Amino acid sequence: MTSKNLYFKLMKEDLKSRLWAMAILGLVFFFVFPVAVTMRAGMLRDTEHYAENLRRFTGEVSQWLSFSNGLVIFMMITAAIICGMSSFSYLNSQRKVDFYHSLPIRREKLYVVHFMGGILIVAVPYGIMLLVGMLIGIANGIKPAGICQTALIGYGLNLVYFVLLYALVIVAVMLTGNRIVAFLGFVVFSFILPGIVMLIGSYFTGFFETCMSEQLEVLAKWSVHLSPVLEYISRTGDYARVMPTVAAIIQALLLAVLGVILYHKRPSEAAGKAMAFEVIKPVIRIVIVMVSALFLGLFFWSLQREMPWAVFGICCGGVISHCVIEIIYHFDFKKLFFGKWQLVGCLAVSTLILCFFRYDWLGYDRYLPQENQIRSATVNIPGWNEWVSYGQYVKNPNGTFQWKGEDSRTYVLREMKDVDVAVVRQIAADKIAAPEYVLEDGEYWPSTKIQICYTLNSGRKVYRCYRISRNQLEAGLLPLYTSEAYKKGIYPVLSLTAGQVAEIRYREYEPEIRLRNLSEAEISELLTVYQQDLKNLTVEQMKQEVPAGLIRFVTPTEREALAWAEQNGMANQSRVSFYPVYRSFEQTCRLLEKYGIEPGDDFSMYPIESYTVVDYEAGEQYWAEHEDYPQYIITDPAEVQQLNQVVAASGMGYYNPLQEMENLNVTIRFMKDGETVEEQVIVPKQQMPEFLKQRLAENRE
Amino acid sequence: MIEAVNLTKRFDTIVAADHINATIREGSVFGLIGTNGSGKSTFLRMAAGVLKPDEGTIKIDGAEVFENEEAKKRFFYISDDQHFFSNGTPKDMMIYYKIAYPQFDVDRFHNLLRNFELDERRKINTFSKGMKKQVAIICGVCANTDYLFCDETFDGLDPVMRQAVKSIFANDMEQRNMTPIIASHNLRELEDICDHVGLLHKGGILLSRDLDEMKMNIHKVQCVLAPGMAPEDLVALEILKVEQRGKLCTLTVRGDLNKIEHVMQMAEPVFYETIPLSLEEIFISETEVVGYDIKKLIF
Repeated sequence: MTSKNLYFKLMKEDLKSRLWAMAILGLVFFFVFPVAVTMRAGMLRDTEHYAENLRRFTGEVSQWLSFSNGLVIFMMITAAIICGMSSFSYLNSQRKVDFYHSLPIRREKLYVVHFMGGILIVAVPYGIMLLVGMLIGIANGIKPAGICQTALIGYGLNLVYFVLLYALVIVAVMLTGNRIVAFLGFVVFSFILPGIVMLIGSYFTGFFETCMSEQLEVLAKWSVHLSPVLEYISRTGDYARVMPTVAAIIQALLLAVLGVILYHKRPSEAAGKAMAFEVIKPVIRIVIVMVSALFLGLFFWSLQREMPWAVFGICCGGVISHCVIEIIYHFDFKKLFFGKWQLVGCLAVSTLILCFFRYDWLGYDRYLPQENQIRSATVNIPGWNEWVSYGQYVKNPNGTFQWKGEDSRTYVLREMKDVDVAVVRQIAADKIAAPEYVLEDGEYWPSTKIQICYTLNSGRKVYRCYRISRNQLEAGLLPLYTSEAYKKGIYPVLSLTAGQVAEIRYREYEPEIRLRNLSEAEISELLTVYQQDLKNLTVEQMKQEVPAGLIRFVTPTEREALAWAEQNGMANQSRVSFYPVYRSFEQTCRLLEKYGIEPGDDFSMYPIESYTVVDYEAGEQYWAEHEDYPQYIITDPAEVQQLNQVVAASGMGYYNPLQEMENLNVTIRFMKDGETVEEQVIVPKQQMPEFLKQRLAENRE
Repeated sequence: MIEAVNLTKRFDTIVAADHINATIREGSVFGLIGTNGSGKSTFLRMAAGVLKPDEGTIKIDGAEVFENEEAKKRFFYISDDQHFFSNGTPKDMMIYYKIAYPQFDVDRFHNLLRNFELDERRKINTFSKGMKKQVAIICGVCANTDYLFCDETFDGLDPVMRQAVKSIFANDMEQRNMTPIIASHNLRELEDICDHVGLLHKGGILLSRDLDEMKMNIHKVQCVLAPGMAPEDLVALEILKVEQRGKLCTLTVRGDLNKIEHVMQMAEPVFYETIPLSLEEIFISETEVVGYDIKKLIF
């Protein structure tokens, strides 16, 4: 008898004994694919809109059979657990172990047979029902080529991740001797690493003022890759990237090999015990106890912000988890405190770790590299450039477009070059010298976050984040904002070249206007002029003005995406890549006027009935005599004309982070298309007409 | 030949097998006797390659058993609670064993099932405990291996079945030199089948002897000695035990039968006769010599 025959025959017998699993999966897949596709085919009965319905049917079925089907992913995870458990469930019973291990068949052969059997239990019913579902779709008019490719890719990717999870379950089974403990082991293996990473990140962001909370988000995204389950779920619909698939295959192979090694070393007497290997016990216990202790410590700290509560949390988390683990290890409630010295050690180390963070023993918040240690530095102030769009449009394989955004921190810290290190360092040094945040007189703004990245001479990047007052920030920012390098780092438009611009658009209150028929030279001129005006923009200008309008330098891909959006009725959803045009951008305004656009005149072209000003800053004397805010309705044409010169559409305020809180929100009333329309506009405090200042002053004294 | 040298197995703090040395020759029936927890099953599980010894070795004809397919092909292990596939029938078991043991005799399997009046298509989980034992024994015998490891196999069999199984064993021993190794806590169960007996106690082997050798070498003498004479006066005899009821003495004596009879004749007793000892009596005597009260151990 050849080995091949032996494997085949043993696998056949194994599958015979697990027909139940195959039958259940077959039944579920029957409903998931053939039945679901047939149900959707019902929409094709509407013959009036057959073409449209067929397109919808094709899309929906393709989506359903592809790698994007969340239900299939859920089923695969469940199937991996069930098959992994059932494939080697005999290892949990001494009777069965005696049977299998006394046979003249090496464990490695048994492993291969049962391992492959588990895969076939899923692969066969999934494959058959998917094929039937596909055939039903094709029979109802879907073109075979597209759907076959989509379904096959989905089948392959789902099976890859199934095998990965299945192998992980098997490793958990090999390390344990009991089904429930094996399941718990799988849960631990699936989530412990992301849990640890997130816990460490939470300690950094929770205790260190200068730690960027955004780094926790980055960490969270990255930690997904440490869990096969999370990685699988997060990849839903992502069938284009090859590397994650290759990584999953390699991981699955490594886990399968680890499984066979563990099986080879596994003592038969482990059947029925909690853990198969004594040496693993303390490792798992220590890890779980410390993670639980630190987690509850942080939890209680976040509730009360007091060290005794944090220590209480550590003790609770440590003791409870230790006791639960010992009960599971020994299946005996009386063994609660077995290994109590390890518990004491874990609690001590956890408390020490807590102290490290709480009292900043490592000087994390006080870190300030010497100037000669810094190769370069970058600064990002998220609140100041949140209106800037970082990212780009990408075209999907199905012809649709998608805006792939990038967070400002990533973009700015990557793109900013040659900023004055001394200035950046000084901002940090000032904050370290006076770490407490104090609201300054007349300051209504919340504290502002400033993110700094030092690139040290060694190449190492060090990130810090400070919360500073507006005045501190303005003081620090004044020299920074005059730097072209800083602006280039935060405004992608400054890196655009004329060759990258396909067209230019402008908008204020009215819908977007395309500047048509501009030659390349004209585009280049306007871009250059705008870039120059933006580079020259000062903090003082921003404090005094509100943008009159917005300009957009559209790249060829953006133009294609915008055309697609307009065709699909989504033109108004595109709000990216706009830049502010201030009235003080003289050169830009002059050129725009040349092309027929007068910045800030959107409301002037309508017959304006009135401006209504409600003064929310009225004084106490006023309130003694009145029950409502003072309201001024301005209808005098001369006064209206003065206001026309300075107002800006309310949405423009978003594009100026430094606009004064005292800027007035005013209601403008005008006739448009024969109807009276009311809109909110902004009157900058610094540019308020004298007559309005006087009128407001009457009730503020 | 199966040879165990310093075979030791520990489960946590419990020493289940403690430096066992034993040799099991082919063609004989080896009985492993011992109380519950004495290490019989552990010994057999190590012999079957289920457990890996912590110390020492167990070899079949010089080959280590653990994870050795060739060595394992030479025996079939029937545990005290044999596993059968859930919802499996005797036929299903036969098919599986046929894969694992290429020499499996399918025709004989069918015949034996018929003779034992067992339905090969009936689910084994509907069988009685005794019937399951019968299925396990039939599978074991039909596997055609050189050795058959039986752990408490006769427990649960009725006397008729026990005799039937013993005759099958005897037949296989004669025809193909099969060597059954039978573990039991019941000495009487093995008396008429074992050639060699090993007594296990607290994980260690207390005694390992050929039954014939023991029977030939130990005898019971009932006698009424001449007036004025006491058993102690029979100095030429190696008396292991003396029981006296009135004038009737029962002596357990070690040694050659002819020599014992010669000594007795020379002593000119009023009456004497030699009678054979049961296995139980032999064991009592032998273990008492080494300081154990075997009645407390295995009866």
